[in-house]
Amino acid sequence: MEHDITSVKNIIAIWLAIWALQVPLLAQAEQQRLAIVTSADSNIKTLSAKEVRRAYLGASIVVDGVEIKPLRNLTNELAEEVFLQKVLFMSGEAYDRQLLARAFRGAGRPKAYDNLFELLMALHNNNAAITYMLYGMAVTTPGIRILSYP
Amino acid sequence: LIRTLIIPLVSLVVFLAIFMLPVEAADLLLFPSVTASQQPIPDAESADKKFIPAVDIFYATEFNRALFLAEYLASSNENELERFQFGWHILPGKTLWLGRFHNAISFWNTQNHHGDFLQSSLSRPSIANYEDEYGPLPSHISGFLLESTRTAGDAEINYTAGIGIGPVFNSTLHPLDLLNPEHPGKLTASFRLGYHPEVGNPDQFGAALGYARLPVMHVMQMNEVRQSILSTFLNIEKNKFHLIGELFIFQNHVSSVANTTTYTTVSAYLQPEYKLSESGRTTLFGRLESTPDAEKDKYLTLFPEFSRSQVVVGLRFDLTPSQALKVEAGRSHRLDINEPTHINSISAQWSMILPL
Repeated sequence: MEHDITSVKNIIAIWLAIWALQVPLLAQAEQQRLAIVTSADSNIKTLSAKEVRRAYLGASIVVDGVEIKPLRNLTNELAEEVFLQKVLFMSGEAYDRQLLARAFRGAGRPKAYDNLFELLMALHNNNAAITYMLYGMAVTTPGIRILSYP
Repeated sequence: LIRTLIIPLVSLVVFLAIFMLPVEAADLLLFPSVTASQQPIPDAESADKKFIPAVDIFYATEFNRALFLAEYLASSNENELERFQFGWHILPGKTLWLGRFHNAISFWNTQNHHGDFLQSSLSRPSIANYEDEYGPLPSHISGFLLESTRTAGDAEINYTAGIGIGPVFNSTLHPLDLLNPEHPGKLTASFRLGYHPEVGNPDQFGAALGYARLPVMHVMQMNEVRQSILSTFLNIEKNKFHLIGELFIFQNHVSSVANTTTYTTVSAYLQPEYKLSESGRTTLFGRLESTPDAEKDKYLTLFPEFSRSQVVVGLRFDLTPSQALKVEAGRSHRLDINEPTHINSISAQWSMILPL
């Protein structure tokens, strides 16, 4: 019987250890959580991950009566990397090349911002504009609204 | 004198106005390249060697719903304003352009334009060659262009309709030169429908219809050619594999004072490409081109440099994400009756895109 109790204790200990190991991973996942945002005044209500992907790949996406205008957020390397991996499923190099080819064909490309203030101003100035940022940043930035979590 | 001064002055004012606009977004792209090619001359010890440095300059900008783009190619062979377009977003996904643009009848040309870096191969298929490269189809139209794209479920459908003034034949085809617009070109139009099975995916299929009235100058017993074209294209990219191909069926109604003769010709090319390395930096490509019975088409015989058949193999190595080195060997059967049946050639090219 004592042998059984020891086994149960060991199993519980291992179980707890596994859970303990998950904590930093969960914290890391939370850190890498991405949010698609728009201006607080925008009429856009929701936007699916598929629509976001298509808009950033150059398709004309009309939601709630407005044509989405995607903006690239280059102010945070992690946000950009997570966006490329989780939304576009491609490398930055492949995406850049695809955008340049589109621009060369006269189709335009999402404007890129490496200054957060300018990015937020662009969001405020155009109610059809969307961008992406880390969740932690999105919930603490005034004047913007989270549309989805891809 | 007035004419000589007015055009550069108007161009200068337009350029200054465009650059001074409070634009929302602007793209300035440069495509420098250096091409070296060698083609043995039969029955001679020497070879026809060419060394061509070139730079293709592209500028595009937008302000609200207004758009502007221009492409200028400067090389040791030519200096030409290739595209010059003013556009207006009339509806979401729909843009109306006015100016000089590339004819949508050729999928290859509207994908790569004059940016050598964008295409894997060094050369273009003979049928997709531009007018000054002895291409037999109109590549440039000056007039109106409507571009439309819309999603349908997971797919995207796009169409392009262009109408305007096309080229004139005078030893080669000559499109309207916007910087020297003295030109007797006539109606040229095209319509292309494209289908992407998945939005954002480069896979695409489609078909195009084209019509052109080509005035012919300084050719005995030929005043005008009325050209009707049907083309289909495909572009497939799967992992390391890429396939691009087009099929053209065109009717040339060749008119002289006395009569009109109609010639129907088929032309096709297929270019498979394969990335040899995991990094995707090395690409092996080949291309098969064929225009059977080209020599029977009186209009095509005006283009002695046109290849009735051609086989091309080559290798592209991306030195960096923005620089590529290409080598290509080809064997072509040209229409020139003064040349031998087959001509071998070898070429190398360094090309780049700035910025990337």
